[in-house]
Amino acid sequence: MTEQFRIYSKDAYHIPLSKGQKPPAELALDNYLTFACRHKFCLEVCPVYQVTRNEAHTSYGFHTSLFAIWKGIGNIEELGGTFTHCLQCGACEVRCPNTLFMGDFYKVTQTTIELVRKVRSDLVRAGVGFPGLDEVKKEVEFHLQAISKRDDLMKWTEGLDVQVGGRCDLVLYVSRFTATQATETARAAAKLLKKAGLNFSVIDMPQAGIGEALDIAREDKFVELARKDVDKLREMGAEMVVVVDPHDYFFFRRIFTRIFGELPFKVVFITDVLWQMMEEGRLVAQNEIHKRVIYHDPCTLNKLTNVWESPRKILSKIPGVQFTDEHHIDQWYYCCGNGVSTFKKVNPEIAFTIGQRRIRRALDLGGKTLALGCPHCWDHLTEVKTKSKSDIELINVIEILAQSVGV
Amino acid sequence: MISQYATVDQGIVSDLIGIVGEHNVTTMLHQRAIRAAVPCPFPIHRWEEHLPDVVVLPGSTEEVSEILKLANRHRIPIVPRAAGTGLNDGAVPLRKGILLDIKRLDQVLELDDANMTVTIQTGINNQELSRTLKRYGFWWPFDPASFPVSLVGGNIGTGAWSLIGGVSGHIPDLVLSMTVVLPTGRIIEVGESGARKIRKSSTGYRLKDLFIGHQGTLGVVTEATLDMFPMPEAEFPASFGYDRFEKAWKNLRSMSRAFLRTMAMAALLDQERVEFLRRDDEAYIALPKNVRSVIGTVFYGSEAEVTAASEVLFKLVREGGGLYLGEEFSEGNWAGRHETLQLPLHGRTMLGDVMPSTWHVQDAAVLYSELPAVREKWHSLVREYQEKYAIFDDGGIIMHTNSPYRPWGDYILSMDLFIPEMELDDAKWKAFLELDRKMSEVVLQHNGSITACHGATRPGQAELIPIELRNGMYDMMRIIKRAFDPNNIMNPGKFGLDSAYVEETKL
Amino acid sequence: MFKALATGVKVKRGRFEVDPALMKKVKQQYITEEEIDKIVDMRREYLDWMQYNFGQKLIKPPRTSKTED
Repeated sequence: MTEQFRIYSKDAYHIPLSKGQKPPAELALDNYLTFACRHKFCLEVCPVYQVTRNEAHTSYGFHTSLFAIWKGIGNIEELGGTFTHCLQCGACEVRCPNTLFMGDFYKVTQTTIELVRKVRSDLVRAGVGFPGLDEVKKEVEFHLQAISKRDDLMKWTEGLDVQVGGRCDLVLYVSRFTATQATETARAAAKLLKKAGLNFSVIDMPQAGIGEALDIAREDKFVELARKDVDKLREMGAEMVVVVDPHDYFFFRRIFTRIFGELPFKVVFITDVLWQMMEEGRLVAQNEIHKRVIYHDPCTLNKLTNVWESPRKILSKIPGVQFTDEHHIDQWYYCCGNGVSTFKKVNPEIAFTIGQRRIRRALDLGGKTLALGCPHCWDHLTEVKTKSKSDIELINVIEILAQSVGV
Repeated sequence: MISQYATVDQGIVSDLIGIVGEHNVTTMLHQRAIRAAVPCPFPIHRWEEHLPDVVVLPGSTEEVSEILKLANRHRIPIVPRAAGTGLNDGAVPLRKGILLDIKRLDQVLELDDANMTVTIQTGINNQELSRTLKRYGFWWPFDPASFPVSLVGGNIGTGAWSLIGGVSGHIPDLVLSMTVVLPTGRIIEVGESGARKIRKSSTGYRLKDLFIGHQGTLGVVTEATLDMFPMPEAEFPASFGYDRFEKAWKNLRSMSRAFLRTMAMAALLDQERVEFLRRDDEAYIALPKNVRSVIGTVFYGSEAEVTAASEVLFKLVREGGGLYLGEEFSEGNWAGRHETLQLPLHGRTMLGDVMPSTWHVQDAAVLYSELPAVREKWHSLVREYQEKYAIFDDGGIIMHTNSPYRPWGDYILSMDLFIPEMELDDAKWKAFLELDRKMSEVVLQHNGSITACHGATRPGQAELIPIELRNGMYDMMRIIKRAFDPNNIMNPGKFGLDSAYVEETKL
Repeated sequence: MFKALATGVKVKRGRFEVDPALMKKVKQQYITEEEIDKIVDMRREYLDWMQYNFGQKLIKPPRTSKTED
């Protein structure tokens, strides 16, 4: 199934693992490159490891487990409970010197997220599965149902007087999760673009965005939905696509490009556009917003696509905001606990603890508001805040901007 | 008699679950396999021989005590493991048994602002501790090559060394006291004195050092009270190039005797090391062609003192024929000091192809006067083995200041050897151990110590411990080991101390 | 500035790369120029962050220093 399109960066990952068989030698060599180092830069930076303190729940653990199986120690049947312990946040990938200090030189990097996806899917294909698999399947099914319901999917545009569909060279891309679970963020994005005087259209009935499909051997579905959206954007004549959900930004910039090759449009994140509008004077933060703000870098923006400047610049320009910055490299070590896909469904308790710790860090710095860049962070931390009875305010950075701009 | 060890059966596993809880015990093969190795070359062709029987993650000193009591009752080996980033097999199980993983003990217990101490559980990572202290304006000034990854407990277990020991000492100098679970399960406190935070005392025997560098053979250190420093006002890294190793070596002498108290480190890179850096241009900053040796220095302290020291340093370098390599190289090299040593694609075959390999660091403590001779002999030995076995790749030698609080005296020589573990078989593994031993023998011939900080727990070097520690020291080790650990359960086989149980040692 | 001194090192787009001919034992992966640029940027940012890990102020070399070539 995966041979039809390039799901993974490394050819060896496209060969499925099977019960009772050794992993292929090429995969073993890739695993060896992590084992060969075994200096464990991937441990302390991993938000899951920070909670469990189990080195199996790290890039080192994942790669070495497979390498040991290739040497005849262990079998894939016992891997499921270990390989669920990954947020897919990208911290280990970026922190590993194999990426950071030699990845560009050798064109061989740490690809832990892809390895984790591969093993989860291979376990499903092999009939072994992993703990929490049913929950993840339900999530995928839920998405597939939801993307067909126009009333739910496009309701967020009501009353905004924005173009939906049709042709336009600037398109606002709001996928199912944000459209249905974080409507205020979606509406803020649209209102701000409109206030800036930009002529844009909103993509009609977006289909893609279900990363969980890559964890349950439904790569075909992931690709099918992605292709639909890419085709639709092409038909719309999009030259620039503005994305509101950083998970989608990561998918577009790093996964869709791998599958489809260079895309026929530029993809930018909403805060980059909004900051540019502020620099050009087309958006003015005029209302004072009295908040003591800490900004949480979403993993998909900070670690996976290196976008961290524009949200900070925006916050620094909003009058009344007392912004205490935490360096974005320090935040390689943080996560909200939701994960890029699947994690929260299979490890809800660890997800909760990671979220609690993140809120605690903000409170320790004297923050009353944790500004977010990601609707998944907002959704998960809201649940954590409610359960732990915290009074911290959680709000997307663009909503703070919208309040200050006055839309 | 050496203990006959019991097999870890389901009854033992159930007992362990009773002590630490179900989620903190595992017998899954992959969880055991990943904890069989540390970052020095590992005989993957004999991986099974190093598998522990069970992995346990205790959450408190009391749980560690119960586990050791259980191990004694049944005679089961205990192998303590911190991060598993050591460089001489200290945490590699030799006799199976219980792998005691201390990572859950990761809390900061107390920060004493007035008396400049911090008390921690030993499963805390150095960088994490450093970040916590920084928030309060303090400095955890311990900077091993493994700073981002190692845990203080492992540093204590190996007697670890700090890159900046010239200004703030090494682990033995920074640990004031510890809570230790003895092999029998008894929990004791040991330190410079009977009080946890005193730095210098003459009340009793100096027993603290027994547990620093013991490689887990005398118990498990679960808590430690550490010295804290004030955050240094200034940092100054500076690197210099020389056209010959000997010129650099001589300049090192004048630098180290200038009494610059803020000099934290001087590191001399030999020609092979510079050639290795050039191999991949990994610093991405080109060095002038005629630079064949480099000295890297770094200073920490008040701005006034560091600035003054930098003026003296540059004058000495000009007089010594050195060339300043610029801010980009100096600062970048220092900032990247933890990152660029163990990269698995930097090894090369004899034909120059990229060779996926692991990194062996041969470390030794060598006197200043002996550095050139040991250096030459090490390279010559490696060349000899390269010709026979083609699996060794010489990454050159760095010589760092080794003495605590001063840059003269002895230096830690570390040579990087790249070894492709996937090509190992018994013959090649034996060759590696032989080479290791011969390099250590050279050091002994030159009145040095076979290991500055990694330990000598691997076969190859372990046989030389009684030779280096002749004249009573090794006999004392035997007596102490047997007295503390009557059943030989604590990391058995390390230091060659099974010999303590063959017959009683008398002084 | 970007001249590669070592054999087996290529310089492309101002960046160093290994000579692909040397990668006989290890296969290079699919990686875009954008991803390579990202690694280079993040390395630089990381080194800047690391620079202030300990000391609060980075002292510059004395004015009497010279860099010769």
